Amino acid sequence: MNWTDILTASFIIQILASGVRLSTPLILAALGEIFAERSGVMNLGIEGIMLLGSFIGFSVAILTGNLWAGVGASILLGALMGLLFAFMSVTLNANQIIIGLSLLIFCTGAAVYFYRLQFSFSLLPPSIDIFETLSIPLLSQIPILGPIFFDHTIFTYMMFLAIPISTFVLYRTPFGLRIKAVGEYPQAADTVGVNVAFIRYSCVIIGGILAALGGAYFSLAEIGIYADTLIGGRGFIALALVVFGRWNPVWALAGGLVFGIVDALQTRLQFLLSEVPSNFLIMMPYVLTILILLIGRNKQAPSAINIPFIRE
Amino acid sequence: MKILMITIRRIYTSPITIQIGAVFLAFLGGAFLIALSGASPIDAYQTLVQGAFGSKNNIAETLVKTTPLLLTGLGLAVALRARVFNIGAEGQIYMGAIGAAFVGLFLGDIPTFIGIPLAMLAGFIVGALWASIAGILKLKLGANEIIVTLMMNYIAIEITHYLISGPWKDPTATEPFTAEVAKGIQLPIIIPGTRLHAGIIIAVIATILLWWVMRYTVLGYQLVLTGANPNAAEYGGINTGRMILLAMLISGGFAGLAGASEISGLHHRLLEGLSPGYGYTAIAIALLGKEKPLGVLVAALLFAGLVVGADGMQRSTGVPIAVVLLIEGLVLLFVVGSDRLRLNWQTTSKDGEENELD
Repeated sequence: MNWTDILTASFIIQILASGVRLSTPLILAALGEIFAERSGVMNLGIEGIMLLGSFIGFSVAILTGNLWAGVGASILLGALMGLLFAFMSVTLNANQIIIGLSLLIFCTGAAVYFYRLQFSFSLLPPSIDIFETLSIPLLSQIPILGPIFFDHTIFTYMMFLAIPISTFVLYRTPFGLRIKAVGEYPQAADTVGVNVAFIRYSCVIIGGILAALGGAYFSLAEIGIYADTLIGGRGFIALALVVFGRWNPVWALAGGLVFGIVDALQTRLQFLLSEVPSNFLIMMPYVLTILILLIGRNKQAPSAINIPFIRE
Repeated sequence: MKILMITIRRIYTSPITIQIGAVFLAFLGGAFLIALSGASPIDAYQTLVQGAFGSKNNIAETLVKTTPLLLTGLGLAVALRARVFNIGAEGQIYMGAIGAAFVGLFLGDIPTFIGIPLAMLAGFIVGALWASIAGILKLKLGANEIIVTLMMNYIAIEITHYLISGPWKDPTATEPFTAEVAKGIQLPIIIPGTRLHAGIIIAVIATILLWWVMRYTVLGYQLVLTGANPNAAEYGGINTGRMILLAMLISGGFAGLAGASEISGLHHRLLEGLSPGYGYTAIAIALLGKEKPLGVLVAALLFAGLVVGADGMQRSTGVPIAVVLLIEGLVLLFVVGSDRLRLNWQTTSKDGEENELD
C-alpha cells in the first residue's frame, strides 16, 4: 500500500465532497434540535422522526411520482411529530427523556410497519430516482471549492441556506431572543409577557420538521430506497453535534462537516485497506461522536433544558 | 353512600387502574392499525394470544423471550430509579454474550457447576465494565450518558461482528458464528421438548433479589434518593457520583447477564443478531413496569407474549410483526401521558392532599 498513490488531489477532493454530502442530514437535524434545546426542550426522539420522515417521503414520492410531494409530506410529518412531542412535554410536563424514547419507539414502529403494509407484495425492494445533482453555474467551476461545495443535491443547498437564516433568527430577531429567555429562565420570560408554551411549541415543531427533512434526505436524495436501518443512529449523532456545537448553528456546521468527512473516509478506506477489518472502520463515526461529545461537553447548555415550566 | 363514592373514585383514579386503562387504549389503537392491513383485529388479537399462551410450547417460547427482556429490564429499572439513562443495554447484551462465549470457547472442558456460574459472572462483569465507560465519562467529563451509551451499542455490535467473522469464527462453517460453546457452560432445558432453559430461573431470582435490594436495603434507598432528589441525597451524606456509577454498573451487568444467558441457554454460540433490539424494548419494559422489579416482571411477560404471539399472528392473518413495535410505542405514550394527566388533574382538584409524593 503506497500512500502517495492514494492521497492524490482528486481523491482528497472526492472525500471532501462526499463529506459535505453526508453531513447534510446531520446538520439539518442538528439545526432543528438547536432550536428545540435553546427553548429548553430536548427531543431525544429525532432519530425516530428521521426514520419516519424518510419512509413518508419515500412512500408519498412513489405514490405521486413526485419527489417534491415526498419532501412536503415529510415536512408535514415532522411538524406533526413535533406537535405530539410538544404536547407531551410542554402541556403535560412529562419527562422529556422518557417522551423522547417513547417517540423513538413509536416512530420506528410506524415506519417499519407501514413500509411492510404498503410494499408487502413487491419481491424486490422498491426504489425511486433520487433528486439529481444541481451543479450551480459558475460557482461549481471554481477549482477545488466548486466540486466540494457547489455540486450537490437541493438538500445540501437548503442546509447551506438554513445556517445563516437560523443564525439570524436565533441571534438577531425578537423571536430568537425570546427563545433564549425561555430556555434560560422561563419564569422571568413569563413575567415580562413572553408566552413560554408558544415559544417551546414553535421550536419543537421546527426541530421536528428539520429532523424529518434530514431523514427524507436519505431516501430521496442519497439512496433512493427505504430500509429500517437507514438512519443507523444518525439522529443521535445529530444530538451530539448540538452539544459539540454549543447550541450554535455555525459550530454545528463545522462539527457536522468533520463528521461527514470522517464518514466518507471510512467508507472509502474499507475498499482501500483490505488488511484492516472493515468493522473497525465502520466503528469510526461512532467513536468520533463520543470524542466530539467530550470536546463539546455541557459547557453552555440552556439552563432550563429538560425542566418543565410550571406557572406558580 | 359517600364512602362508596369515594372508594369508587379512589379505584378509578388509582395509578394502577389508569395504567391498565392506558394499556387497553394502546391496544385499541393497535386494533385500528391492524384493521388498516385488511385483517380483522379480533382474529389478529385472538391468534396473538393463542400464539403467546395457547400451548405448552407457546408458553415456553414466551418464557424464553421473557428471560433476556426481564434481566435487562430489571437493571434498567434500577438505573432509571437513580435517574441514570442507560440506552446502551443493547450493546451491553452483546458484550455480556462475548464474555460468556469466551468462557465457553477457551477454557476447555469445565464441569457444569463451575462453568455456568463462571459464564454468568463473565457476562455480568463484561457488561458492567462496558457500561461503566459511559458512567465514568459522565462523572469525570460531564459527557451525556444517553449519547455515549447509544454510540457504544454500535461499537459493541461491530466488535461482535469482528470476532465472529475473524478470530473467533467457526473454521468449519461458512456463516459468521463461533463454534459451539463447551457443554459445561450450557444451561439445562427445564421443560423437555421445548427450548425453555434455566435462564428464566436466574431471571426470576434476580427479580426477587433486586426487589429486596430496592425495598429493604440502604443501598436501594440511596439509589432511589439519588434519583428523586440529588441535592438532598448529597446533603444527607450520599456520594451521588458513586451512586450514578453504581446504577450504570448494575444496569450494564444485568444486560450482560441477559447476553450470557442467551449464549448459555439458547444459542450455544456467539452469532449475529443475537439480540433483535432487546436492549431497546427493555427500556420500554422498565418504564411500563414503573421502574419496580415486580412491575418489570409483568411488563416483560406482556412484551414477550406480544413478540412471540405476533409471529403466529403474521403466519395466520398476514399482519406484519412490526405492528408490535408500534403497539409498544403507543403503550408508552399512553401510559406516560395518562400518568401526567392524572397528576395534573390531582393537583388542580380539591383532593390536593392525596397527591403522590414519589
